[in-house]
Order: sequence, then structure tokens, then C-alpha cells
Amino acid sequence: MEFKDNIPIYLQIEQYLYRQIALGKMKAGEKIPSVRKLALELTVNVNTVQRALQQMNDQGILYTKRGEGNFVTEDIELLAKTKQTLIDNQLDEFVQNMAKLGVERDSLVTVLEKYLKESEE
Amino acid sequence: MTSFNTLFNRMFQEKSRAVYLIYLIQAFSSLCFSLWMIFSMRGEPNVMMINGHREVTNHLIAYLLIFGVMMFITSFFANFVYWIISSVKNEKINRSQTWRLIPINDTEFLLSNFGTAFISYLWLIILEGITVAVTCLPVLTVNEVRKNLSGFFEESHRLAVQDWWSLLGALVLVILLGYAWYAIVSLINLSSRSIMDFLPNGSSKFIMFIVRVVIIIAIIWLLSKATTVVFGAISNFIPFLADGNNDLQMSGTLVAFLLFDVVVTLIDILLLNKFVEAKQN
Amino acid sequence: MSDLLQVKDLSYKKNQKMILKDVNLNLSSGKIVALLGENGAGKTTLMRIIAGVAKNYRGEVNLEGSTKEAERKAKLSFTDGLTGFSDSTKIKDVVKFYAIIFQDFDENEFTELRKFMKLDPEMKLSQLSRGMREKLIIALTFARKADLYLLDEPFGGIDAMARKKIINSIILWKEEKATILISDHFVNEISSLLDEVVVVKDHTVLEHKSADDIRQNHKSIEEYYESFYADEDDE
Repeated sequence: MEFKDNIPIYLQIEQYLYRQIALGKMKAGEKIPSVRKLALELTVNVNTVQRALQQMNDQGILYTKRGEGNFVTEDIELLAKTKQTLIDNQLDEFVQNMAKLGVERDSLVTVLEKYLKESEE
Repeated sequence: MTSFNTLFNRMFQEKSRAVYLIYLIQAFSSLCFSLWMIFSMRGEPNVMMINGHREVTNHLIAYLLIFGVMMFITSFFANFVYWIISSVKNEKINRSQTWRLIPINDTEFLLSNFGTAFISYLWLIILEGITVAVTCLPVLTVNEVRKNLSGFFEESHRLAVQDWWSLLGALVLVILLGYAWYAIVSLINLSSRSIMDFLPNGSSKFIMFIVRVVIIIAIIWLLSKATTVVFGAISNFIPFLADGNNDLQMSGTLVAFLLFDVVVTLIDILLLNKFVEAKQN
Repeated sequence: MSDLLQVKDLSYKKNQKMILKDVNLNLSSGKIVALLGENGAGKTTLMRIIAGVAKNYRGEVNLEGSTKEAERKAKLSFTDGLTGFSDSTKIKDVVKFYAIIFQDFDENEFTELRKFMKLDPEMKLSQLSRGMREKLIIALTFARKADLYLLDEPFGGIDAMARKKIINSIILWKEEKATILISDHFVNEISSLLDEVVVVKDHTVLEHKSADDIRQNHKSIEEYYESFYADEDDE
């Protein structure tokens, strides 16, 4: 994947893994790839992956089994919350971008509804 | 850290390659020459002149002898070529980053470099010696040759113990001289390198060349001065020298050369350790 | 964290020309660090001094308590251009040299690296393309078990695939405690790998910063690096 070079990489790795989990590519209770494999896949330093995984462990999204690696939590509620955060982030970005284009908050719903209707046709 | 033995073996391997090449060329040219003899002296080579007598032998022995003698004659030239090639190789190694990155101190590095050049030289002599001996041995089957040789050996039995000592002394002297050659070549190269790295940048190639020549002349002049001084000092230390006592004279010379070798080596080590860099690659 | 490498008040002149002046640099273990600077800024010289092949410098270089050059050489692995070998030398003979000379050279690891890089041991040095030669040099350098790896411009003039291979080998073969210092005059290709950035300019180390600190200020590493040269573009 491509990283934005002006945001700390470990944060972007976290985002990447959240998305993988939210999209269901990594399921509850499933083992995630090893640190080195992730580092290779993302072309980043092993240290950076470790830092990202550590933070996700602290948040409870991942848990470590000694000698086996990292697993996605089985806490469904937490997963749902994570997914909600991702959705919120996307919506936030959407709202901000629309505001820049002159579509204010009150007219947002109408514009969106109109768009959805037209794109269906 | 890399051990001295490891480095020495590896450097010997590197230098013995030149030895084999020279030896092969030498053997090949000797072979060509003896073949040329066969064709140019068609029918006649089985006649040898010994002490004015015509001695008949078979062809093979005669050709082998010619080959052996040719090996012996070309060895003077081959050894000279080896000294030049090995000196160039030594100085290349002294400035090669590949070699200088080896984890070993500069003293051992330099001694291994000189040492392997010299040991490889001995290896070349041994190869030549064995070849000459093996190819000339069959000629001993000829009666007249045997008679002459045994006469010679009887004479050499009369060599006194004294003479054996001088022979040993001469051998040590040759070793010290051989070592001195490598040490001096390095001294010239290392010191001119150090000075050239110190000179202001942007000098033209021609100026660099002149500087080099001046340095070489200066070092040779210094060396000749140093030798006179060292020999002077030694003869002062050994008052018996004037008596013409051969043994003492010999040992005086040996000590002088040993001292000379040690001093030049120490300067080489200092230069290599403090100033001479590996070439950038 | 304890320092792996300490360079203190290092100055170096050659042919009466100042090349490095009052360089101070500390590296801790386990990092990937970029040494950035223009061509001729003194990156290679700094590496050569650390590696003990450039001489006559002032100041101190301390690698895990070793200040003697020979001891430093045993603890670090430096990319060498292989100029000590003739062009007709085969890769396997170069490997033999390394295996004999360096006690910490791991032949099995080299074989793995060689396969990863797709190098044929029977090939002669003269047959190698620039990228293959660079890959061989990296494989030889990493097959040693050192505390500090010095990679001098490993990406110079090679194609994208070779670059990718070299970057991946850094990720795959770097031991946890080892530190890698990579010099380059262009940062984009390795920026996602870096823990720290060292900028060399005006004959000295101008700045030494953690990559995350740079990004925290919403600056890309490239922008950060280019900011050192911004004023010069106006001329």
C-alpha cells in the first residue's frame, strides 16, 4: 500500500489494519500475519509494525498469545465500535469536503438523497 | 577479528597464483626451446660432449637435460618478473578497500603482505628446483657424468665447518635482502601516497607525477644515507671487524641488515596505520 | 537506550580541503537510519572513517566501546565495491574469500540471500549488471552478523526491481539489535522504512531527527530534507 509520508507510519498501519478488520478480511479470533510478513507487505520497518501492533494490543483490538502471534479480538462489541469509528471518520471527511464545496450541513441530506435516487436510475 | 594465519593463508593463495602462471610460462618456453633443439639438430642430439669425450646417450635423457638447463637459465628472468609482479600486487593490496576492511591490525596486515610475497617467491624457487632436479637426474645414468660428479662431491666434503656457517649466513642475508626489497617498495609507495594526500587539491597529473619522482629520488637518497650510517654504527660497535675476522664481519652485516629491515618496516607500519587510506571505490 | 555508535568532534581534511568538520553523531541499536546529503557532502567519507579505511582524522569514533580501527572493523559490515577482485572472479570465489576472512560470515544465510536476489554463483563479476552487482554486495554485507551495517548508496543507478529486492532484504534479514545506516541523496524510495534521518550538509551533520517526529509535524521526510536546500534554489 501507499503511505502518506506526512503522517507517522505506525498510525497508518493501524488504520490499515482497522480497515482490514472492518472489511472482514481479518475476522474475530483470527491470527493476523506475522510482524515480518506485514513489514514486507507494507514495505516498512519491523519496529514500526511492532509499534502499531503494540498500540492495538493496548486498545484491545488485538491480543497476543505467547509464541503464537497476534489475534483479532473476539469482543464483538469492540469490533462493532471500531467499525463505527471508521464509518464516522469517513463521514467526517465527507462532510468537511462538502462544506468546502459550499454544501452546508442543513442541505446535506437533501443533496445526498437526490444523488442516491438519480444514481439508482 | 581475523587471525594472522587466516589472512596469511589467503594472501598466499592470492600470490601463489602469480607463481603458477610464471612457472607455467617458464616451463612452456623451455619446452619450446628443447623441441626446437630436436628439430634443428636432427639426428645428432644423442651425442654429448663431456670433458672432450663424445658420450652417447639416448634421446630422451638428452632432451630432458636440455629442458632442465633451460628451466635453470630462464629462472633468473622468471624470478625477476616475479619480484616486479609481487611488488605491484603488494602495493595494490595495501590500498585496496576490500583487503583493508579485514578486521586485523595494520602491523599484522603488513607483515602478512610482505611475508606471503616472500614465501611465494621461495615456492617458485622450490618448484623450479624440483623441475631442474627431476629433468637432470636421468643424466646420472651416464657413466662419465657420474664419475665427474663424484669427484666434485669428494672435494666439497673438504668444506670446513666455517664454510657451512658462511653459507648459512649468506642464506640469511639473502632473506633479509629480499625482505628489504618489499619493505623499501612499500616505503616508497606509502610515503608518496601520504604526501600526495596532503598536497593541495587540483594539482595536475603532471605535477603529481613530478612529485612522485621527487619523492622516490629523495627516499633512495635517504636510504643510501641510512645504510652508510647504520653500517658505520655497527662497525663501531664491533671493534674486531677490522681484524678481518670473517665470522664477525658476517654477523655484523646481518645485524645491520636486520636493523635496517626493522626500521623500514616500522616506518611502513606507521604510514599504513596513520596516513595511507584504502582507495575509494 | 544505550548508544551503539558515537562519533565525537570528528574533522577530516584531504588535500588541504575540509571534508568533514566537527561531526557529532550518536546512533542507538536496532534502528534503520538514513544518511542524507548531496553528492560530495561527505557521506561516503563519514562511512569510510567509521569503517576504519579512511585515515588521518581528528576526533573519536566509538563503536560499542571499540575505538581501535581493527576492532571496529570486526563489529561492522560495510558495502565494499569488490574492487579487490579481478573481473574474472566468480561469485562463488568472492563468497569463499568472505567466508574465510570474516568469522561472522554465515554461508547459509548468504545462500538464502543469494537465492532471494536470484544470483548465479557461477557468474563472473564482469558479467554482472550494475543492479546485480549491487545486489551481490548487499547479500555479502548482510550475510555477516554485525552490529552496524553501513550501506553506501545502495540504490545508485539501479532499476526499480533491484531496488525493491534490496529494500525487502533489509526488512527480512535485519536482526532486531542491528542498526543499518543507509546513505542516499534521494529519500523517497526508503522513507517508509526509516526510524531516523541524519542530514549531512556544509561538511557536518546538520540535524538528526526521528522519522516520526518529522511526520508528526505534518511534513514528509522528502519535504524535510529539501527544506535544507530550499534557499539555494533561489540563486
